[in-house]
Amino acid sequence: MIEFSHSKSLRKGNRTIYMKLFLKLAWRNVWRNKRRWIITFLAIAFAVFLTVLMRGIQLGTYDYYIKAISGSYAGLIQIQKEGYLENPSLRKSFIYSDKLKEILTSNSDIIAYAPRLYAEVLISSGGKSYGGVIYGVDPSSELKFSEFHRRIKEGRFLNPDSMGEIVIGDKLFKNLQISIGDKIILLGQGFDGALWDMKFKVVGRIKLGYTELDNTVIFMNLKDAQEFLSCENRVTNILILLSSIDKIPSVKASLSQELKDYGLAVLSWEETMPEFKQSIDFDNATGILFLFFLIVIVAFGIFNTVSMSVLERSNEFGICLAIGFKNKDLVLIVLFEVIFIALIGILFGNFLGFLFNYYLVKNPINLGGKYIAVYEEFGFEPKFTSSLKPRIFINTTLSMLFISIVFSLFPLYKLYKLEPLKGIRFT
Amino acid sequence: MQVLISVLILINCLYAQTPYEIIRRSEEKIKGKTSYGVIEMVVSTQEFTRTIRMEGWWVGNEKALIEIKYPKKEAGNKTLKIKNELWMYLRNTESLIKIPPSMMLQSWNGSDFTYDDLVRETNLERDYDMRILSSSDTINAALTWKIELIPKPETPVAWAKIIYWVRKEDYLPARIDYYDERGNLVRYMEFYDIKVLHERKLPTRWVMYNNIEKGRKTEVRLIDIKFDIKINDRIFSLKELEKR
Amino acid sequence: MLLKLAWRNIWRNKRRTLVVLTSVVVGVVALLLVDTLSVGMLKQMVDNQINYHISHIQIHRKGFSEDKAIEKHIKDYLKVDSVLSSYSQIKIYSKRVISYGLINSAYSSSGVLIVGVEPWVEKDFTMISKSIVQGRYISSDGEILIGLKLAEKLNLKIGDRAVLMVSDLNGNLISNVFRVVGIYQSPSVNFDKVYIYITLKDAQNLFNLGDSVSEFAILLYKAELVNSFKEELSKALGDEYEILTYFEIGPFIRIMIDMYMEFIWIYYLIIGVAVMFGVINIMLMSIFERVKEFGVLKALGMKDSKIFSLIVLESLLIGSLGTLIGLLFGFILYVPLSRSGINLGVFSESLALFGSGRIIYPVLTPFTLFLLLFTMPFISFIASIYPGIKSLRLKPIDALKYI
Repeated sequence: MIEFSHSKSLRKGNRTIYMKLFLKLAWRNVWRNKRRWIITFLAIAFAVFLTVLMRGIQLGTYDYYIKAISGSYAGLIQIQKEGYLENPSLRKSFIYSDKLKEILTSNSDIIAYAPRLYAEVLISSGGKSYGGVIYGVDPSSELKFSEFHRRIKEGRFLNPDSMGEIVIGDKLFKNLQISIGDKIILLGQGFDGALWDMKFKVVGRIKLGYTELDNTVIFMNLKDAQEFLSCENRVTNILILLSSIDKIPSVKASLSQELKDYGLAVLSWEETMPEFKQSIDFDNATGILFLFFLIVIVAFGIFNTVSMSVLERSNEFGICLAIGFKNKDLVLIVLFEVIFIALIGILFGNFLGFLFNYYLVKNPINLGGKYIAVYEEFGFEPKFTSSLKPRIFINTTLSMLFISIVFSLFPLYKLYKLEPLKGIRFT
Repeated sequence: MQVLISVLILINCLYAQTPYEIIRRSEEKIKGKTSYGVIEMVVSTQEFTRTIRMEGWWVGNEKALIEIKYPKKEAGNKTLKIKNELWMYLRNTESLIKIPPSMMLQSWNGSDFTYDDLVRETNLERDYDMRILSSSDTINAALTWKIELIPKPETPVAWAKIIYWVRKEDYLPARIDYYDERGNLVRYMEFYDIKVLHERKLPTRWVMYNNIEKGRKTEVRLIDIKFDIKINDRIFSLKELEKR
Repeated sequence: MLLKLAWRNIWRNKRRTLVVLTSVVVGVVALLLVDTLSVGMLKQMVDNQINYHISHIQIHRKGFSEDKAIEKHIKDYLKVDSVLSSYSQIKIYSKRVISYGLINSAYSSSGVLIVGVEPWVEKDFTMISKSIVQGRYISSDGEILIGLKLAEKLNLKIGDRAVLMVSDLNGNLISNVFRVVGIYQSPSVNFDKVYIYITLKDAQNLFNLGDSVSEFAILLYKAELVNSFKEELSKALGDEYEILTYFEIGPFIRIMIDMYMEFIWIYYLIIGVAVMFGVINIMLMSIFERVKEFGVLKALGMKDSKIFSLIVLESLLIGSLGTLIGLLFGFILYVPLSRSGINLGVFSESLALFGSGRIIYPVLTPFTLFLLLFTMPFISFIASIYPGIKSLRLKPIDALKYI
């Protein structure tokens, strides 16, 4: 039987005592009819688990792809001269000063940075000439950065002390009909406007995967490029890698501040690779939409169960009302019941989700088989990994809780309006 | 009475000039069947100023050979045009490169002239419709004819209109404006420093101003120029490029 | 008989049944939208590739696709022409000259891919003629059609002159002037920047090709026959030619289609399970309410199997009814959407990258329809098993106790 204090005077007094009482009642009510709640609990746990899992996979895999793609090609953050993005040209190069290096090394979130010099040139061998793009890179910086040395198909990549050596793209190599070790001629317009030609030795053939790149890319040592193009100590881009993707906004802001006077712009990968960003946004949006539907479907179940539970206890509630409980007290009790169940389900779902996500983070799934072609084509392995970002768990919990309460509002309202006699007479 | 009128008409006909004639005479002043020149070119942009000195031989519009003499880095580089083919000999690597179309429209040595400018066979009379716009404009204190040139439909040029000012006193060109389809001035060239070189009177400083990138211009100074001299045809061959 | 009973039973508690029905409806609609949109997007990507340029099959001289050099033109074009005209599977084929060149305006120049076509054939062949944003398609010599992005870069408008400069078959630099008569916009920005169109004759003159061509592009009546037809053609034409299907030219899409096929069932499964919880829930509720009833029925001799079937039927009815209503609602949403498409302008750049365009038209395939019709009833069938078994465990005596 229910114990309560029947003195009205006490009611005016200590609210917390009543709260504790209601909580206790709610808790006991839940366990009174395990069977009724168990399905709902399972459904909530299922929805939460799946949401946590799917969001984990989405966010974790995005981070992986961002690192893989923008890491090699655009860096998470990039420094360029203002105006270079719209109109790339050698004229918009900037000095790679010691001051600049100092600013970069002093920032603890920056784990690696690679200076690069890009320029359009003519590459020629035995009468055949093609347009190409020089990628002047610093091999030792690049090792930490990109995986270029792994994409070599023939020969080798550049060494830190390489001089007069180049590595060219697969398709370009084939078009020129040369072999490793051959010397070819590069003709380009330097920073000073002068046309300059030089011979270089081809030491490697690289396949990056994107046709436009393999058709034109010519890797050479940064120092070589600077000399060839009369660009003493100048670069066109600096690619930056951070300790974590989440640091991008703060590092970008602080760098922009420090570099403002140099006429340099600091861009994130989202600005240098907008199509990529939007692909991610698109996938993200569709994922969230899908999960929303999922939670709503489960919420219908909650509605039914709460309705049922209220209806079944109409008799009991009627009696409670008759002996002095107020409607809003009952509403509060049932609300607590809903919250308890939701929380248990959420907790369990989160826990399971956490386990799976943790496992995936440690052991990402490689999509093998036919997806190897993706690696060949685009240069990264398609795989699924996950993420343990707190906001995944927090957002899911809040959404589920919120929806559960919202979908219980109708039966709660009915309870709020319940008249004691009507309740008692209900069989 | 009638005789007087007819004589007057006749005299008028004798002295009336069509724009074609004016242009032709102007072009003839700065061209010849063959020519040899020592030229200095100065390119000024917002970032740098560069000076190149070169020696050139031209046979009409068919053949041209230009050798760079200064600065040292580029000295010895040669550009050879034979009819429709354009070649470059690069001294440093001792290599011969045929210029593909993609390079043709890049600026030649960073100047405001493109390779296309260099080698295009220009025949204004043949390619353009002309008419005189005014006879009283003054350019650099000289009275000029202002002539409008509209390219004929088949002419492979991207300009929609060229305005050519010819000095009345000596038929030398004073200024040339290049316009796009919408009447925007894209670039213009002015002629200064008229001197007599080897019995030819002509402007020895030509400056091409870039109207899109303000502050950018290319100046061509004729240090020496000879017309209609005998030029050994042999120099216009690929073999010769490599030898010298 | 049993059916009638089942039907009446489910409506005994209207509100509860309606709520579950709604969840089934929501599930079906959600799946319908997600599936049709994904399929629509994929189909558009493929179609755009095919319709804008690639068509089903392309024939070149072997090695042409590597660098599109003009020297690799099809010398024996007459033979190929006659071979192709003998096939009835071919809906239409087009001759093209394709090679690189430079386009020059008063302001700027840009590297382009010059495509020489026969306007009257090509007009119905590709979607380019339907994507004109300014001016019109080319119809005679001297005219040129360029992409919007290129027009912007070169500051070209309708009626302007543009000069094309190429290195012809003999290595000579040839230039010719053209008039811009039209500007098109395709779903792919990268395409617009590079592909320009002139007449076949103009291109042949420009490159000094005589009557020869670089490519034969073919559209079949039935896209599915592409691979087998390619085999036939290879045999008929021999080794000097490369014959490529649109899959080989654009592998990226293939990968995306494969991924879709592999993962779409997961979505169905997830929604299915979510709905299943709801159905199990009310079925359990309902049998516990009818304990008395089942007791009486059993005492009267009703077989276990019949009771079990009753439960299953009730569940199936809910699932099927929900599916039907869901499909109805789904269609009401789908039909206008399939006509007007969903504008995803926000994602325009990445969609341009995928080549699907920014308006996505959902597409309903028979496969999707089958999945939708089948899933919920199946789920509700599975959902009914546990309650069904539970109902069997009720012994008549225990049941009667509840009275």
